[in-house]
Amino acid sequence: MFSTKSFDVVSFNSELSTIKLESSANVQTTEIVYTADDTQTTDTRSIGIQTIKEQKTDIQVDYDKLAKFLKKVTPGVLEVLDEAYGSNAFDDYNPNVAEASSANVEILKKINALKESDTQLKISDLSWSTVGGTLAVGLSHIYHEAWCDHLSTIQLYNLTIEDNFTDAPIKTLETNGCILTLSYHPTEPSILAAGLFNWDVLVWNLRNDDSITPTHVCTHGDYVSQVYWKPRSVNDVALLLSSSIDGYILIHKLTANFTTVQLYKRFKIVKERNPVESARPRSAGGTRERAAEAGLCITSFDFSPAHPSIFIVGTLCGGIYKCSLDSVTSIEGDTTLIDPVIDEYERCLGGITCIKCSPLHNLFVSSTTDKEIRIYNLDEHVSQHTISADNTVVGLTWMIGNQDIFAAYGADAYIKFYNVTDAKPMTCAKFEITGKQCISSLCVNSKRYAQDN
Amino acid sequence: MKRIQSHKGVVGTIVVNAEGIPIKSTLDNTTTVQYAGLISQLSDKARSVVRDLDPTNDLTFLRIRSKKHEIMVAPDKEFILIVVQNPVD
Repeated sequence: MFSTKSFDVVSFNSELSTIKLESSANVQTTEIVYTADDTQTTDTRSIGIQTIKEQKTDIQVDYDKLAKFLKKVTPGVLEVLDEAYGSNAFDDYNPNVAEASSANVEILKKINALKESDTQLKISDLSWSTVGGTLAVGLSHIYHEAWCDHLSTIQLYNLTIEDNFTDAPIKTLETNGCILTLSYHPTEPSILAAGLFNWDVLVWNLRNDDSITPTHVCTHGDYVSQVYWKPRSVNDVALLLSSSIDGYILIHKLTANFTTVQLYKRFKIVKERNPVESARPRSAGGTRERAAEAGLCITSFDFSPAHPSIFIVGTLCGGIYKCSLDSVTSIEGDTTLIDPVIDEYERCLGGITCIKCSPLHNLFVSSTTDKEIRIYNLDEHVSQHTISADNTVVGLTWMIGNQDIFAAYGADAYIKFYNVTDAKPMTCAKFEITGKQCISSLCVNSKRYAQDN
Repeated sequence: MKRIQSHKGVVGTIVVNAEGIPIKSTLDNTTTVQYAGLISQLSDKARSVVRDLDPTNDLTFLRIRSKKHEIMVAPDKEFILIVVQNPVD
């Protein structure tokens, strides 16, 4: 079916063509003619004004009455003119009303409570005695890595009638832990309470010069954040409230000349008050375990002057709680432990550093670690005003004189003043502390005025 | 009015009626209108303050001491006499 066949090879020469085809073409563009036309819009308005010619009426004056009036007042006016002319009553009276009022701050006295070598120490708190004659200065170490076993002191300085401080402390109270908070009794000038870093709350009666042994009030489960004297009715004893980072507020009655201590109430801000914590599953230990555990870290609290049983508590997690002394809600069945919270306010992102209730209004102010100062109405959940501070504010103090004004101080060389009613800064009332960069405590004397950094 | 005007240090005297319109004045027109309007308002306010504090009381005389002048105001039911004095002539 298949066979092989060979053919002869056929070849042909290649040929290159050298002829090129060329063609010419012209492109002609037509001339574009531009024409410019002016456009002018005219706007005309016609306004008609109608004026009524009014007859100018002459003022009718009863000249008899005028004469009578002048006759009556002239002697008095002349007398006053005589008196005013050449009077030197206002000679030295030159009020500087044209210039904006500014805070004229004068350092009356600089007390060196710390030696220059004490770089690890700071003044942690100040407290004026109730009559304003003694200033208590609490000292503390700046850093604590673990348990505080520092020997610390409270120095008491006298303020003389001429506004002079004694150079050296009139008395020094020694403690076996750093002082964190101080509070003079509101009516007894010799009673001083202190909260320590080693969890203790101590009370001194300074009336007896020989005895400087304090009364041990209680020991918290963590360091003490605030001590507060709650004045009661005339014949009743004063209550000493102490709050701690362990979440407890302990209330003690001090009787027998402040030597006998009796636990009055135990409050705890339970962890479930923080929404993050409330989702925690209950462990096998259950109720008893929860009752025994620490609560939310209480950093500050203050009582409302308008409602003596209401106090506001601020925590490290940013929670602000309205609490009542009269609350009876027991925690996990423990009748001796009471949950004082009756309401909650809008939470802050940063930890609360200070809470102060307004002495005049139904307001309170809180400062937080996220450099915010918030003003709340006691009856409203959401803050009324928020002030952004340049630096972290660690404390707030109401001013004397105008109690609408509060001072904010902290990680700044300035003390800034704000009005609580409108949250506006008092621009003229801002003064700088030279030397150091932060202010740890500010205390206003009820009669006079002092601060420290 | 001449007696008052001739008193030492007196810069001007104005008599204003109950509506605050100047009736007699020894000052120029603009100053008179300004003084009359403002002082009569202040006088009314001062009177209401005195009466609010004590309804049985009434304003009899008002003195305004400023850096430059002392303005004396003698108010009445129908007229107000305003005397501007420069006390340190």
